[in-house]
Amino acid sequence: MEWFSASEIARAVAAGERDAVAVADAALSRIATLNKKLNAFTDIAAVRARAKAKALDEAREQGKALGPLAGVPFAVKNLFDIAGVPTRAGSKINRGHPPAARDATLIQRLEAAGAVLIGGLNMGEYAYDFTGENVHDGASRNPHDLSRMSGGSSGGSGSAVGGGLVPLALGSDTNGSIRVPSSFCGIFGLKPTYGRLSRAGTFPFVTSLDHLGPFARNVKDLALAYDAMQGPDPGDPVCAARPAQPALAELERGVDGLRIAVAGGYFRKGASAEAMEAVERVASALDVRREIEIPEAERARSAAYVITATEGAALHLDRLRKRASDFDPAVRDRLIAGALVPAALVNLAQKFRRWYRHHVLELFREVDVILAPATPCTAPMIGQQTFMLGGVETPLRPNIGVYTQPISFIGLPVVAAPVPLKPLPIAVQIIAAPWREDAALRVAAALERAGVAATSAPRL
Amino acid sequence: MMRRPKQQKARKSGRKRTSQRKKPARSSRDPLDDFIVAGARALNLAIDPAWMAAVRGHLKVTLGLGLKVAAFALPDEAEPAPVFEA
Repeated sequence: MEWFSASEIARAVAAGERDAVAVADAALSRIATLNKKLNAFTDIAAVRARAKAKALDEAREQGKALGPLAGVPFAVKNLFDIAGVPTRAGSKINRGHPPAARDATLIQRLEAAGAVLIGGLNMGEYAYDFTGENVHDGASRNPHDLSRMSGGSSGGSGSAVGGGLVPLALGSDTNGSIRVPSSFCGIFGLKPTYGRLSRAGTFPFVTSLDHLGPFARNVKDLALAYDAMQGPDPGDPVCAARPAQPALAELERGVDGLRIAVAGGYFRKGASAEAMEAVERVASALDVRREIEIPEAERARSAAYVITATEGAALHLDRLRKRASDFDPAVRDRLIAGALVPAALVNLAQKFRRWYRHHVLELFREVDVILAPATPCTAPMIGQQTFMLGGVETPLRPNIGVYTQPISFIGLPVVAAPVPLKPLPIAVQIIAAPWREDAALRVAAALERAGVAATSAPRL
Repeated sequence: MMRRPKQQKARKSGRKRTSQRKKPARSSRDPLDDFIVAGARALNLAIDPAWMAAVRGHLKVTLGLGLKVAAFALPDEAEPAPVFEA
């Protein structure tokens, strides 16, 4: 069952060809075997999963309709509230919190569609991370090479889906934390429009920039999960009061009528040969020849960096006062620095954000989709401190997100589509205008049909 | 709270400085260190001296990026991205 897609599992369970309990047991068995290698899971909800699966099997026996994700095992980054479990958010400090009283909204919605929660996933502390390393829980590992990073901060989500432990996972993306693990682990990830999916019941990082979204091994599963999670939620003041716009039915439409361009300028500077090859393969498959420049992308990345450092510091200020030595030092020192940044610079960053949004939205009058690298390189080694960016040795941790930050800064929807280069995969960002996840998913589906974007099974 | 290095007491005598006179310890410090110490004190944040180099490094990067944003000319009427709705 390890490489079965969510849609195949749901069909088999709904048809009675396979029991949901057997599916959950198979996932739990694979986790028991492989989590020692991947370190993807931090919490395993075996009792809960079997109870939910049993209820699904009983419902089917009674002739009740099952949801579109019937029996599909899934897992969530451990900043999602899971009822009865402390929400650790990758930290030592928060694991001392009382257990969550209820599930996060997105868990509730996936389970309402028939999915079965299997557990919580490893992540970088407080989501301030691009590596997937965690000083408290150990690094989650890349399924294609266990000595390499899974990517952060949703590293466990990347390991779990890329390693075949579950077909579906959820993560968060503030500056690239869905797109980076998708790229390093070679899986599909969707960072929807800012405000599209409810963040209620998750531990925040930078509320100005926080998004949640799904990971999967194919585009259909990504759309299935995305559709099941859409809709307003008064529990998250940022969640838009707009009706769901299902994307699954759009996938077969192909790319006809979509105007697509490759991002030039900033997005070509510094990228490794692998990153550029992935973009070229995707552009070639789509017959895209147009190149556009996203104005002031480098400054946008700078502004996102400032807002992240300062809002993150504000969130953790009291913990920095009282329990500084309990933080991951790499996170603590950045948060302390963020607390000291003058407010005038933060205000200017937020003003620039509006300017930048206006000018990027102007671009979307001319194009529907923009292609850009997701990461400047394939997965680095765990523990690696520097890498070559544009021929210059550069600190690794803060710079893995150079291409993702200017996009999430203004909340644009993005599908990270993996290109299975050898020996390591790397993803391309398929970027659309706000609320046009459908366009990005259509392009990803077309690339998948063409065999250009795909998840390859690792040998574990 | 990070401790400041002990300052040498200023001499009250009007004697001229000589080349043998020791430079104040502060002269070897990064100018940003005073900002960090004062800021941390104002925020009631304790910074272990062992963390100082990393904090300084991160602050330099963040301030540099912030100043890059600040160098961009925006009209006085520019609104920040989050707009409060009453």
